[in-house]
Amino acid sequence: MNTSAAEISAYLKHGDHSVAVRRTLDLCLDSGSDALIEKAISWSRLYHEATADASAKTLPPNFLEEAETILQEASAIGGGTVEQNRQLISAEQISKKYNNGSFSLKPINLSVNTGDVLGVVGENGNGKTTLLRCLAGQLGLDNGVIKYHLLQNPDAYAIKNHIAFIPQRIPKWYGMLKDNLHFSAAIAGISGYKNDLMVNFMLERLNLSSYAGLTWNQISSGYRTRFEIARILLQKPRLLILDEPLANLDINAQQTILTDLIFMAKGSHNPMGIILSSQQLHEVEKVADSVIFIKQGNCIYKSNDAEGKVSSNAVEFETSADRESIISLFGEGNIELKFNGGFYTIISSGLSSQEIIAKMIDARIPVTYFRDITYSTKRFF
Amino acid sequence: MSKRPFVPSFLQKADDKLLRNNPGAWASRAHLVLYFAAAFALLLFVFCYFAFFDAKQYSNIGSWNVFTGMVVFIGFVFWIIYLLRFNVFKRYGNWSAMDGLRDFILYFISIGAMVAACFVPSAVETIRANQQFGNEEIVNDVNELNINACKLEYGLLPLKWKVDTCQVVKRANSTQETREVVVSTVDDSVTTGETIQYVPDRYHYIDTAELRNKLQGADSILKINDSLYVFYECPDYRFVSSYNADEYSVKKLQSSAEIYNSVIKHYQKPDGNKLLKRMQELKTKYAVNSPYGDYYDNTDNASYDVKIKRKYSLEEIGNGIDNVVRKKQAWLEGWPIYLRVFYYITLLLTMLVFIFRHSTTKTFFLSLLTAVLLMIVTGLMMVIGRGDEISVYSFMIFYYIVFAALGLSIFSSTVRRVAQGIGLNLFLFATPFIPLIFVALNRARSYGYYTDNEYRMYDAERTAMYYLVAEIAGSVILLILIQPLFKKLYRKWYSAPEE
Repeated sequence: MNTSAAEISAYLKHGDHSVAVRRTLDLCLDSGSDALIEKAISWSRLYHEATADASAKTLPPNFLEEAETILQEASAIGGGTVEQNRQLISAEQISKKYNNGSFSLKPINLSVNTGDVLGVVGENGNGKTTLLRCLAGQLGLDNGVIKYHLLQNPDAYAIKNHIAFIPQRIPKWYGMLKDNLHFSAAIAGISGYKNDLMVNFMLERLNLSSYAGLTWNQISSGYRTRFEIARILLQKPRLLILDEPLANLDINAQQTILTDLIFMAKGSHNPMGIILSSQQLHEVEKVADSVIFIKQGNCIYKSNDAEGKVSSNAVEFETSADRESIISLFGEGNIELKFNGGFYTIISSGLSSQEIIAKMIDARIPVTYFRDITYSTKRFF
Repeated sequence: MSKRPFVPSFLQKADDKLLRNNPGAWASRAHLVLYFAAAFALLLFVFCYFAFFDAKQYSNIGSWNVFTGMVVFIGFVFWIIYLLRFNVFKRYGNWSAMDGLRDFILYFISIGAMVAACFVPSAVETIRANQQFGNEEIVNDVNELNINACKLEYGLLPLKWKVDTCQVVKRANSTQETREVVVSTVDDSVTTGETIQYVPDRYHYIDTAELRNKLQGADSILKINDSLYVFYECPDYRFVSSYNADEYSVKKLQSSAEIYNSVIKHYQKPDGNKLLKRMQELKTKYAVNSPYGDYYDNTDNASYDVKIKRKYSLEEIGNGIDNVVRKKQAWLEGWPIYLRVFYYITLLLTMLVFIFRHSTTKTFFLSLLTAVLLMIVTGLMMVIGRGDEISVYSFMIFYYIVFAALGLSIFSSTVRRVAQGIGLNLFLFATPFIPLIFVALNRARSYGYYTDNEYRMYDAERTAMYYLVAEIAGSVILLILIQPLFKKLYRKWYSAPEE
């Protein structure tokens, strides 16, 4: 999924500078030209320095001109070939039961390809982390098989070298943050000049340059997550498994990190698959190619399987109107209306989501939030 | 890159380069350890060089060793903390074919550098003593002290030699009569045996072993026939004497007999003032009061040597000379011990660090606990079962086989088990000592017991050589196995899924 230079130009034209900078960096990385990457890093650094002060929103001098030059050069070089739909991992009937507890993960099948994002959702204590740890090779299986399709007869070390797992509680880093990044790049075989280049790239890409000289205790938990992601990405894993990566991020950072991960996963530099668990259903479903819902160890929903198979439509919305006026609008018996204290949920087999919102607008019912959850796991919460 | 305190720019650059190009070597921090250990050793050397300005003083090297050991231990702990930060293996990073061996060697070098620093005070003490006092100088001074004392105090000296007439028999026993003949004077004829008469009934019996000792220790010997000897012992004229002082000198310390022949036999009155002045110079040069006080008998009944020693402070001078000689020869005599102490401390710590770096924290400490428990249990079994040396070695070999079996079972395991990790850790830890245990077992089985009514003494020299070969072989075996066996086992065990 290479963002084209034209798209980036459009971002710049409309003032979406932040996203333009990030996409330009991705584009340069995919070009494979070290000189261009270095140029883009310098350009990005100037941008971040100029916009670091929230009150001063001025762009650095020649920002747009330099952007144009970089984009032209990137277009001239062209991106690498994007590796798509190569199967990375498949799990067949995998299950796990803990020796000392009553919890067990029931047999689950799943598959992830290059560039795919698989979201794993479910309430706390229902087996998300267990599933992820099994997939990451951290927990032995009771039954079933996990195949890592890009590896031939791998041992456990090779599998863990191939996969990156970011746990919910990220282990503390020691020493300067930047040293950790250099180290991670080096153990992945990125040495010398390239090591510096990639570390600087990743710092700029995740807007972490100004924190690189700090230590773990000097940054917030949100930045810790970002640094961990930077570290993991430098190790160039083919499969990235993230357990609740959004837990420590603010709402903007959640969306930014997720979309950045997707772009990098689908880029040509290091195409990878992503499996992530989260409670942030909306954010996950927005970026995931498929979502599985786990309840008490059972996989009770898979978005891919559910496409076109659901028997009713569902929407959730927030309104100041009372229950009676909503029921009278749609007619008693035509819909199923639920209220969870915050949102209303309408389940209807006859009305589509568009028809539901259209009716409410026509009836001048004030709607402050509306979402089609027909194919969302939100229905199960 | 973080700027490290007290690190010069060249090392900082090397550190940067290693981080980017050789993360395994960088993570070992061997380059920093070597630098800081060398800097510490140099500082210590300079400090000790000036502190040890007076070689004749009693050595306080023990205190220095404790101080140095504590500093080195703190450095070691710092290093371990740094080691905890970065680990290529535990991050499942790329690894080269020889990285296990490289890591082991880097740990050995790092720990070796730290341990070696502990020997600096002792080495400086020896260097300083050798700088301040020459081997010949000490021998000359001791001889001069004894001769001058004899010349100055001729009147106090005993002149009669002890005479001991001995009949050599195959096996002496207490019922045989013992005789001692004291002659009034001694002259040249004694040593040549021309005029001495022995009394056939006045001798005592000695066996051949005692004969050997007497032949070595006697000042003069008269051999009457193949089994009858007369041994002469000169009175002691060596008021200052230091063990081994002439070990590395061309000139040797004069014996009492030599002093007798050179000074006493044809005594001539010396220039007393000159000798006294010289005695004073030597006192200034060497005399040191003993921290335990003097043992002089201050009564008038004191023996001649005590009186002479007291008069010229020869005890204090002897203390100083002893101190100098001990310091001078500490490394010449003790280097094999120092080398072994250095080597085994370094090897043991290296193995512990290597295991720690390749094992989980829990398994590492459980391994230590297991080793301690096994020692206790084995000790108890030995006590209860009255086990001998052979039993101890047999137990060790049995344990090693169990550890090896547990460790090797990792190859067929699909999950990470703590017991296998403990087995692997102890398998590695015991490997360099296994040849030693086999040699010790063989020695215990072959020697040290009676066979055919004869006690079989073992050949100390040959056994020492076997031990040396076993020591070297153990380390070589460990080095050979580190990469192809232990590193592979750790790779498989550590990365395996948990149960």
